[in-house]
Amino acid sequence: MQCDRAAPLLHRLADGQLGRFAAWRLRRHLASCPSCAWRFEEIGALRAAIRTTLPYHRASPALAARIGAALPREAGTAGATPSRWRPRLPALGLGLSGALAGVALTLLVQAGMSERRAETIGRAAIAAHTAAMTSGHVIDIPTSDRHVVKPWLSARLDVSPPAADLAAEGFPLIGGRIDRIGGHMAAVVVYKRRQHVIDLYAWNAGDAPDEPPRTETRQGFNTIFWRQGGTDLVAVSDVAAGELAEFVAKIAAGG
Amino acid sequence: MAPDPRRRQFELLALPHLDAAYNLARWLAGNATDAEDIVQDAYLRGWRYFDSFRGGDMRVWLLAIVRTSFLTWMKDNRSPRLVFFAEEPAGAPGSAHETTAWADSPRDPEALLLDRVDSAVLARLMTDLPGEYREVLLLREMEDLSYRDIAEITGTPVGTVMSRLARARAALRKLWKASGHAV
Repeated sequence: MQCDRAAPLLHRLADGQLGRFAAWRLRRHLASCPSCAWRFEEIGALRAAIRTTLPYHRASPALAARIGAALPREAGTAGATPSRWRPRLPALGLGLSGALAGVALTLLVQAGMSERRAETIGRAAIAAHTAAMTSGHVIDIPTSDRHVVKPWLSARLDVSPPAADLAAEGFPLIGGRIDRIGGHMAAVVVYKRRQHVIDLYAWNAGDAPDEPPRTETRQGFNTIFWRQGGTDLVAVSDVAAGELAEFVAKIAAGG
Repeated sequence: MAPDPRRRQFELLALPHLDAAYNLARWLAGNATDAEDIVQDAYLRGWRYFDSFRGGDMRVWLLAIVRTSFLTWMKDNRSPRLVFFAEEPAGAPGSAHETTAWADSPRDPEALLLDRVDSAVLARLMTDLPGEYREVLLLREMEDLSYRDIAEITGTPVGTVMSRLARARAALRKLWKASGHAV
């Protein structure tokens, strides 16, 4: 086989979309052609990079609720007004009405994906945190006063982030900023632990139920994600996992 | 009130793919707010045309609708920053154009340290690609769909999917090299 014949087939081989005989012929060519073999390696590397590092954006619970609420109006069935709409969800064994139905649908969708979600959020948090640290844009409003940072943030976003005075415990508050994490605009309350920065991201989670903290560790950073009182929260820092857990415990307990 | 069995079936089939729908819309539209509008529109369309679903892969059927909703949204909210259709070079799939795209391959395996990719950098490069390229890469790698499924979603022949995928990878690789992250 010649290289010009092989080249267009490399992608199909990498994608597992080449017939057996053609794949065999191509592999024989690759064994004797370093140039094509290198291209093939590169395609594989590029595919792996996309598969393993790009964030998979998950639908928010609010979206499932929105769609759940919008569907009956579209159905146009007699008497099926949104307020009277009562879907029966056998999987949940619950009869729910109105606004709650959307949440139930969300549960259905989200069952079994919390781990993956924590992982996705962990990645996004590390990406956002490192981007802020390297750009030097760590703080929009410098303050050690939680009564300043909290209203400043909640005036700008639909979230009321927990801000606590933890200076005595070794986590002094240094300010706040607005930042993007994954697809969300998040309020970030910034603390310090010795020379390390701890970013606490918070964004509105709608009426989604609380979730216990989950820890993710990668690239030398620790992240802890949890949901409390309709707010998604993720703490990210390069402090030790134990110290970050201590910090999160204090925040979750209301400072 | 008796539950609408048709509606229940739609929910059972369609809702498990909400994340796939959202992920595609999010990557195409570039932000969460528009992506949510697009997905909602797609689900309502899907509900309206549910009778035309003849079995098969619900995810493929839905993603095709998400794509339609996205294109409609783009037409209504034309933004100069959004380029969807790539300028595809003339020439049949598998012609010399694709081979030239990879012609500058270095031989040194250390040249592309793709196992140490920064996800933020790669994500930015992805958004720099024409939507059509981003789309085919997402469907192939993130949804792990076959050429045939991608052809169905994008309404193009399988041959076009193959050549577009090859061009998309070449374009991403080029951006990657130009970004200076290929050590």
